Amino acid sequence: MKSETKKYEIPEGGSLGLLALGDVGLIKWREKRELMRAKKKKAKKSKKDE
Amino acid sequence: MSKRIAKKVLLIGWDAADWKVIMPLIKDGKMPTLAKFISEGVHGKIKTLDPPLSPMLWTSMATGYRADKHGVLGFIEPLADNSGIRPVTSTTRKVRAIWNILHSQGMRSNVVGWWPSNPAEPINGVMVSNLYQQANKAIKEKWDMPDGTVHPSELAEKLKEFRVHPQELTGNHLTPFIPNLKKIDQEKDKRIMGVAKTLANAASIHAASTYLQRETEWDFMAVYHDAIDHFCHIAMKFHPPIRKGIPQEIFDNYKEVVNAGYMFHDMMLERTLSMVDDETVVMIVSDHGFHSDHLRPKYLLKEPAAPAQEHSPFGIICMKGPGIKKGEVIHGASVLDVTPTLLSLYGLPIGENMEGKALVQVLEEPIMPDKIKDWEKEEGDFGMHHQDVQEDPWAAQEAMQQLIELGYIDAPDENIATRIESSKNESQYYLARNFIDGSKYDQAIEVLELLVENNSKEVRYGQRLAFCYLNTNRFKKCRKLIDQLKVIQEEIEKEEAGMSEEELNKRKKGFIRETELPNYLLFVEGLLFMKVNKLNKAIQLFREVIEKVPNNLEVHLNIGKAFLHKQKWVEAEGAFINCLAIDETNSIAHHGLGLTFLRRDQYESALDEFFLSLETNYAFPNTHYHIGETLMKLGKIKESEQAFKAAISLAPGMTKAHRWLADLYQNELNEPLKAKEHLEFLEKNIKGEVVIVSGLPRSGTSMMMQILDAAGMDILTDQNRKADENNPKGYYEYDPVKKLMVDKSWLPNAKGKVVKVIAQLLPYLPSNYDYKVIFMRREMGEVLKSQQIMLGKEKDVSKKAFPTGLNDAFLKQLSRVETWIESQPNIDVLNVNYKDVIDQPTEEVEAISAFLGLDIDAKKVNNVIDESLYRNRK
Repeated sequence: MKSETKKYEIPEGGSLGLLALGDVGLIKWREKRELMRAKKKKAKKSKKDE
Repeated sequence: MSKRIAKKVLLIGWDAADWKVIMPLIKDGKMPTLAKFISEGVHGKIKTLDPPLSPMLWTSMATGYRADKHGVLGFIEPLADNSGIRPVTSTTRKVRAIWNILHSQGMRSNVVGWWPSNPAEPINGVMVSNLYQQANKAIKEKWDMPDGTVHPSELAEKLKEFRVHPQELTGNHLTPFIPNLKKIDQEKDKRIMGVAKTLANAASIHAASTYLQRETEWDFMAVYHDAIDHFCHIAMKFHPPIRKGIPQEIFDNYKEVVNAGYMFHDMMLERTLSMVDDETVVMIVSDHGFHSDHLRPKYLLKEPAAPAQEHSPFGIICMKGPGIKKGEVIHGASVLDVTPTLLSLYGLPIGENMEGKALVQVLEEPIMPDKIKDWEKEEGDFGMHHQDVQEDPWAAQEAMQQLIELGYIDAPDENIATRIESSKNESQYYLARNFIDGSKYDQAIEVLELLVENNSKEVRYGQRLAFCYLNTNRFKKCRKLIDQLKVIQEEIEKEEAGMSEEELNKRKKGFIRETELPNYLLFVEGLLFMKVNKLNKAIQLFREVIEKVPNNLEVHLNIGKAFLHKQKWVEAEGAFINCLAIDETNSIAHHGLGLTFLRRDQYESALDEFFLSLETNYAFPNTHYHIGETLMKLGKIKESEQAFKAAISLAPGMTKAHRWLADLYQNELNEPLKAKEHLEFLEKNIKGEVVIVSGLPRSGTSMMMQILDAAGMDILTDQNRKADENNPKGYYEYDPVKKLMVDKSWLPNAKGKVVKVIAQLLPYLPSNYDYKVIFMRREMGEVLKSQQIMLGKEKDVSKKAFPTGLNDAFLKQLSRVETWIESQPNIDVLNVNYKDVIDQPTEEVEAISAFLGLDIDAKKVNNVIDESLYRNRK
């Protein structure tokens, strides 16, 4: 099996490139999306708290 | 046991993938992974089966059998208790698939998304069924996976997380497909959801398969993607160039969908191949192509599974890996060849009852695959369901919905009984088409006669039946049925003429019906005329069809064939050029065009066309044969040897190619051993020798028959035509000869005998006999005068109204027959001049004796040469 050395930018909205990476790309995208959602939620909450 | 070539095989299915779309993308650098793949392996076209319906084809692909054996007959089937219908399932399949055979050999398989594969089968390995990716609810609702989707069920929870919901996709995913995404009103235009669903499904299958590819041990992996087919059904009508009638705005919105779909598959392929080791053979196949150019149908017929009319007959096949040749083109592959090829790669025997072949020509080291009588008869555990396993019909509803949306099946009728009946009829119709595709006309007739009996107004069924009658020489039945169908068609047209547009649209179920139905009948009627050698009438009907449907390739081809039969080379050339204007890659048209050149001694042009024909269909033995014939004419002996050998490799029983080779080894290449091999074949396979007396009517054929009769030869005559003043010693005719063009069943009666066949009928002689033809020659003026007298037109003759038209026509016909005879290696000809027989009988009898290898007593036959017969001198 060949080693995987490529590095990918993971946009929050995903990309065809990530889908084409299969399960790994999909999971990474979803993680990023969740992370960004959590961040936004946190930012929104902070803003509200202010 | 044969040598195992591949440790592992990865089979990737791309439904509807077509080189006509792929090659321009490769040229533009937009499918780099596939480009690299084919440069490092082999690639070519793969021939589909009819009907080109995916569940049937992918099952044929995975089993090596046609649908009548594997049992999957379309998209849907009635439930066992007749309470409704459901999509076909894995339990519909009656035979073992490749993964079942590998299971019996202790090998592990991963199968993902194969159609149909639900409920997943209990094989060694993992099976993810074709219901896996179907999203049946909105994203916020719970998205369960139906029972039976994954085997082993312990993996279901893990695989569930790899499913992509269409509503999960964003503009980032969809904009490459639909650049104007933001401008389109998604509420009104449902195509966007179609694209999103298709893309999500592809991503789901790919995610599950990459996971299994990486995380599990496997010997065989099969992954099926339906996305290219679905993208094409949604948007091929908007694929560039824009066609007349397509609104510019919609064209602009969706013109990228098809190309983007292919490019996404290339991206997925890159990932898949990055995880493949050096011990794995990878095969990429499609089940059929998809018309992407001017052959795209403008309308679809009003019938279930109508979208399949957009499919083209050739898909793609590529292979790469250890033991596979590099950079070569595969010819002659069929959907039926996939399983035999896979079995060979594993060193396993091929079922003798499998209808395909192993594509051994792709291997660097040729092998002779082992055979087994029938894999179905083998005992053991094959990892299949018990017969009583049934799929939950409700779980399959989303799959049903998708088929409805794609137009493959109609929305459910309120009347379940009607729906069930209709689905049964359709599956029987597909079964009949499957038989027709396999040239099993009698079996097709059995199915179709029942369908027609119960559905007399369904013209489709009748048309296929008429076609089968035609191909089994039941001409009277064919004629009767065509006439009945014409009446029904007229009734339907009258009925529709009285309908409002709304009623008409409702009846047509959203499709615009091209005026194909009556035209197809005309076409079949034309074929019927062709069969009974009424070529002018046939051409007339074909031309009527062409006036209404100018781009009908099949009709143009038959016009070409009819002119070939008539030996009207220029007209045939025109017809085949018309075919090539419609489809420049059509192999039959290139072959036909080549023949028109060959017969006019334009050998270089003939070769060009024959080679173009092979590019599309290498497996056409006649093309190789005619290449051989052309090369012989050019004196290229060694090359012609190769061509005849290729013809024989595709059609081992082609006696005429064996004859050429025998002749060539004996007389040109001085290889007596090789000549012997072919001579022995001919000895075994040639059904016998027939002596034929031929020539124009009134050229002395009856006299020659008398001579041979007197010489003691066995004469085949029924003496139905009695002697008269025109032939006082009898005609020596045999009535069945008159029907030679449609019925050759009497030939065995002629074996070892002499039979009279007029010159014009000689080209209809079958090639599995040897013929010695004594061809009577007589001065044309005398022939015509004798014919006129026989027809009671002595007065015309006496007025010296010489029939110059007939004279020219006969001369042309003779010239054509002579040309034909020259190209027949199984025919020896002795030309005998009528006048010489009268003037110098002894010499002529000697020549005849030598020709026939007999010792004819000249004295005996001299008595029958009655000079008084020579009375119709010019």
